[in-house]
Amino acid sequence: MCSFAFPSYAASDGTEDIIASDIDLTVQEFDENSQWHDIKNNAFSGIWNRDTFSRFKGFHYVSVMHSSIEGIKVQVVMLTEELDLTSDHEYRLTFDYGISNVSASTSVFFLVDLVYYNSNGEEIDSLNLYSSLIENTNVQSLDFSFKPNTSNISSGYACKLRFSFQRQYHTTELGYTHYFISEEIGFVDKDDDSGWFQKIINAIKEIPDKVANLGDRISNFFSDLKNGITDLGDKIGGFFIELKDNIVEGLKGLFVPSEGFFEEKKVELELFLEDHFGILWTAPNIIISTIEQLITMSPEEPSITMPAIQFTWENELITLTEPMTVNFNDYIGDGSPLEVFYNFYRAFVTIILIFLFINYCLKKYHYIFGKDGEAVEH
Amino acid sequence: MIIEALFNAIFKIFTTFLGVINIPDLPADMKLQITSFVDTLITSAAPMIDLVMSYNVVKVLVPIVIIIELAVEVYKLVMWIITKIPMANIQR
Repeated sequence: MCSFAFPSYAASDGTEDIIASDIDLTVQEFDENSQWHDIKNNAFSGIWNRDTFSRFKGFHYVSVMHSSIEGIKVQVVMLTEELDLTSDHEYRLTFDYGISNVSASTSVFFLVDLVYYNSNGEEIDSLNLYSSLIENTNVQSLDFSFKPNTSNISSGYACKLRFSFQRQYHTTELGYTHYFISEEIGFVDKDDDSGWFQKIINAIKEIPDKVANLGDRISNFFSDLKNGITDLGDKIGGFFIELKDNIVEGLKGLFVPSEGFFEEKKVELELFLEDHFGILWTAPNIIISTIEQLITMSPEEPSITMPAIQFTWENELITLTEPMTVNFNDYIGDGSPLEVFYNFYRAFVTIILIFLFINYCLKKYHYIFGKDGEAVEH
Repeated sequence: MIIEALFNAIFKIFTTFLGVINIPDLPADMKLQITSFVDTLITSAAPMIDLVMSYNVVKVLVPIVIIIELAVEVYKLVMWIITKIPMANIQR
């Protein structure tokens, strides 16, 4: 296959390979007004990648239907970048295409169009170059020639190639479908593809230009040589700096654990303790959650709440008493007759509590360290 | 790498020796009942405690007491193990 790929592809990223981002891909739905518009149905999604399909390397749009969208007519459109075409020239297009995972009862049409755009990017005209019903899921090769519309090219309209797969979905077709275009696409300007004699003539014509450039080339060679020698010192210095950095990093790697190592071990240890120590591991957790709850509690008013007394008897919830709260705010709250006395009482109890706590701490200290630095048995 | 290998070795020894212990966990229902009971107990008891003494003081002191008690128990356990080592020559 004469493989030029698309000139526009090569222009987009500076290489001659066609990459997925070179191809403008849309998935469109056929609406009730018989117009194509970009699909908004969440039941249909897909990814665009570069892979091998039936031993052919190329670009895929892998679509998946998540739920039933029976009857929806969908097209997967792959649009090239702008082509540089000349009027009256004949172009030859060769490539492979295919689909997979489509039932025999489903009709999938494959179309190739040359689409013309005005300066606003609006589609002005299109020329259908190829259209066919895909009858099986194998990869098929296509080789045809076409001539662009002379008047459109003369008018300065931009033109792109459009590959479309059109199909109508059925409920039984949930799942993945590959839409495939080969990576190697031949695109040749036949009128510009001169024979061997013309090529020799062209080569002879280029000799004077090449001789004229010889002086520049020699000058560039010496310039490059000088720069190369100047850079050599930097490169040697850079080598030793890099070597030092590598040694330091290597030594660091020996002693400093990798990031997340301790977190990983902590999780492993927790899982191990949970598996092997069962209740002994659970009990501290219950105590911790109890302490947390104790700390977060903050009673607003002095009261006594008796919880409801209830139990289940033969799958029926029997309630003996409802929850009952006795509030003492009227007797000891703000503005009550016993307020001063109650506040005095609370302050007194608080002081006693603090003294008791200090005494407790001292006892524990003496238990561990002893009065004279020696532990005391209790 | 060295630290990781050392740590992995210690972890391996620890899990190998303690791996023979298999204490069953509390049934999920029972755990739920316990936490539910404790919830009710604290919710009902907190206002009662606040009636008798300042709850804000209690909620600071009680966790400290629990932590000290646990630390003392851990200390006892460690000392019990150490006293079993003849070379350590530690007696209480």
